[in-house]
Amino acid sequence: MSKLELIRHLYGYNEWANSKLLDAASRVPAEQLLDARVASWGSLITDLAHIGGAQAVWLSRWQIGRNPTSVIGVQGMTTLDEVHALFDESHAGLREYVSIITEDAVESELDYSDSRGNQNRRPLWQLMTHVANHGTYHRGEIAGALTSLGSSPGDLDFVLWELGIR
Amino acid sequence: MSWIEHLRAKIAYNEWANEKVFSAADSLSDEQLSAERTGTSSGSIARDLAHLVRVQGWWHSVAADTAFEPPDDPPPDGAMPALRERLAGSDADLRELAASLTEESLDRTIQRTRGNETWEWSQWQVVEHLLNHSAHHRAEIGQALFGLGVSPGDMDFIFFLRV
Repeated sequence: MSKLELIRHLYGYNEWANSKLLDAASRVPAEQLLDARVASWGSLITDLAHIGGAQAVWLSRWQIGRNPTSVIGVQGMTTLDEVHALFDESHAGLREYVSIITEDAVESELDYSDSRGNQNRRPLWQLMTHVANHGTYHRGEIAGALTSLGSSPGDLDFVLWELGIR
Repeated sequence: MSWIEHLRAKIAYNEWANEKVFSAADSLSDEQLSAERTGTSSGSIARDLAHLVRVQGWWHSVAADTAFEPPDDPPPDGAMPALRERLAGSDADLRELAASLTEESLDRTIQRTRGNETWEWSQWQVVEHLLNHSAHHRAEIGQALFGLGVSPGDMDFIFFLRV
C-alpha cells in the first residue's frame, strides 16, 4: 500500500465518523448544543464547526496555498444546519481532492501561509495526516459531551469502519 | 518513501501525546483521579487512563502476534505510579513494533477469536486503529482534565512535528 491509499482510508473513516457525530448531535436540543461546554472551543456547535472549519481551511491551503478565511472565522456558527452544510461541502471537497491527487503530490513539500500570514513548508502527507488526527481528537471531546447529554454517537472505532460494520 | 514512515511518525506522536495527558494527570489527587465523572468512557479519569493503556496493549499484542495479559484495574490509592509503569511498557512495545514494520508485515492478515467470533484484519488496520483509539480517548480524558483546570495543552500532530 502507499501513503496515498492509506490516506484515502483515513478520509473515508473521517467522513463516516463525522456523520455519526452529527447524527448524535441532531438528537440533542438546540439550546444544549449551544450551552454545553467542551474543552477546546466552548459550545458543542463551535467544536463541531471547528472540525469542519479546519477541514475546509486545510483543503484551501493544499489547493491554493493559503486560506481566505481563518478557522475561527468559519466556526462562528449558531445552528446545526449551518454545521451540516459546512461538513457537506467540506466532505465533498476532500473526497474529490483525495481521488485526484497523485502519489508524487502526497510526497511533495507544500508551501502555504497560515491564518496569520506565516509561511510554512511541509510534506503534504504530514498535513493530511494532521487533519485526520485533528478530527479524531475533537470527536473524542464532543463524543464525551454528547454522551453526558444522553446522545452517544456509538462506537467510532477505525476497525469497525474498515470491516464495514456501520 | 513508504507508508511505513507515516505509521512510524504516528507511533512516535502517540507516545508524545500520551505523555502530555499523563503529565497533566500527575497533578491530580487520588480522589480526583478516581471520582465518578460523566463524559469519561469508563467512569473516571483513572479508569479512562487504564483503558487507554490496556487497549493499546491488547491491540499491540494483535499487531505483534503476542500473548496479552489484561492488567487489573488501577489501585484507588497511588493509581498514577501503576498507570505510568504500564504506559512505559506499552510505549516501549510500540516503539519496538514501529521498528519491526515492513511492507510485508503490514499487509499480513491477522486473525483473533473472541468467544464464537473470529475477526480478521491486516496489521496496518490494527496499528491505525490502535493509534486512532488512543487519540479519541486522550481527547475524552483531556476534556475531563480541562474541567479540573489542568489542560494537557495542544496535542496536534503538526505541533509534534515541530518539536
